[in-house]
Amino acid sequence: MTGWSDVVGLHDLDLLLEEARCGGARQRTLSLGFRLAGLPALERARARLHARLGGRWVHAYERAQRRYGRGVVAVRERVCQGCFITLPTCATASRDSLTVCESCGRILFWR
Amino acid sequence: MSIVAGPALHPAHLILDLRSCSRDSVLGELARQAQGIGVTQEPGSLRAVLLMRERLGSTAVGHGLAVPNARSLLVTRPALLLGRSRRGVDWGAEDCVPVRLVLLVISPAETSAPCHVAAVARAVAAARPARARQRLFESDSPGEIAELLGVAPG
Repeated sequence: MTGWSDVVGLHDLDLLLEEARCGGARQRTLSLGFRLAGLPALERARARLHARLGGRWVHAYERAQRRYGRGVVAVRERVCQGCFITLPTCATASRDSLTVCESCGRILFWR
Repeated sequence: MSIVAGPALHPAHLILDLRSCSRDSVLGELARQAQGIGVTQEPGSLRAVLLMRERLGSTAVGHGLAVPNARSLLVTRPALLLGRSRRGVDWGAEDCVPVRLVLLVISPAETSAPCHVAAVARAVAAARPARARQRLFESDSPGEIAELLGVAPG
C-alpha cells in the first residue's frame, strides 16, 4: 500500500469513526438496526494505519485535522474543496508526492 | 411513493443478478459498477472502505436486506446502487437470513455524517416493508425500482 492510499484510508476511516461516535448519527444508525460493535477494532486499525504512515504525512494530516476537522480534501477543477482557492498552475495532479494546499494546509486529493 | 431528493437511479445502477456469492465479492462487484457509472475511479480502494464499514458491524438489517454504505474521498457524487442475488449471500445478519437484496449507498467525503445517515435511512425505509422488498426483488423495470426506492428514474 502506498502512502497515498494509507492517507486516504486514514481519512475515510476517520469519517467512519465520526459516524460511529457522534451522538446524532450514531443513534440514528443504531435505530436503523445496524450494529456498531466493531468500534474498538476500528480504533485499533486506525492506530496501526497511523503508525504505518510516515512522519511527514502524519504531521500534515494531524495539523489540518486539528484545525479544520478534516485532514484531506478533494481537488475539483484545480479548486481546493476545503478553502475553495484556485490552486496555482505549478501545483500538479500527482499522487507520488504529498501536496498540501498553500492556502489552508490540508492534504490535497487529486481526483 | 413520492419521489424525494436524492441521486437518480439509472438502469446502470442496477445489477439484477449478482454473480458473486460472498459478501466481499459482492462489494467488489458493486464497487466496479460504481466505477462504470463514473462515481469512483478506484473500485478496489472503495471496496476496502466498504469492508471497513462491515468491520464496524454488519450492514445486513434482516429479512434478506443489506445496506452497505460509505463516505469516501474516492466517491465523486452521491449514488445508490442496487444488487440482487438469487442464491442469497451470507452477510452476518442477526436473523441469519441470506441477503438477496443489496442497496449500496455511497457519498463523497464532503457529505456530513447526518446527511449520509439520512440517505441510508431513506434506503432502509424504502426497502424494509415486506411488499416493497418483494417488488424490489421481482421487478425488472428500472422505473418501478426507482419509484419503490423513492428516487428519480435516470
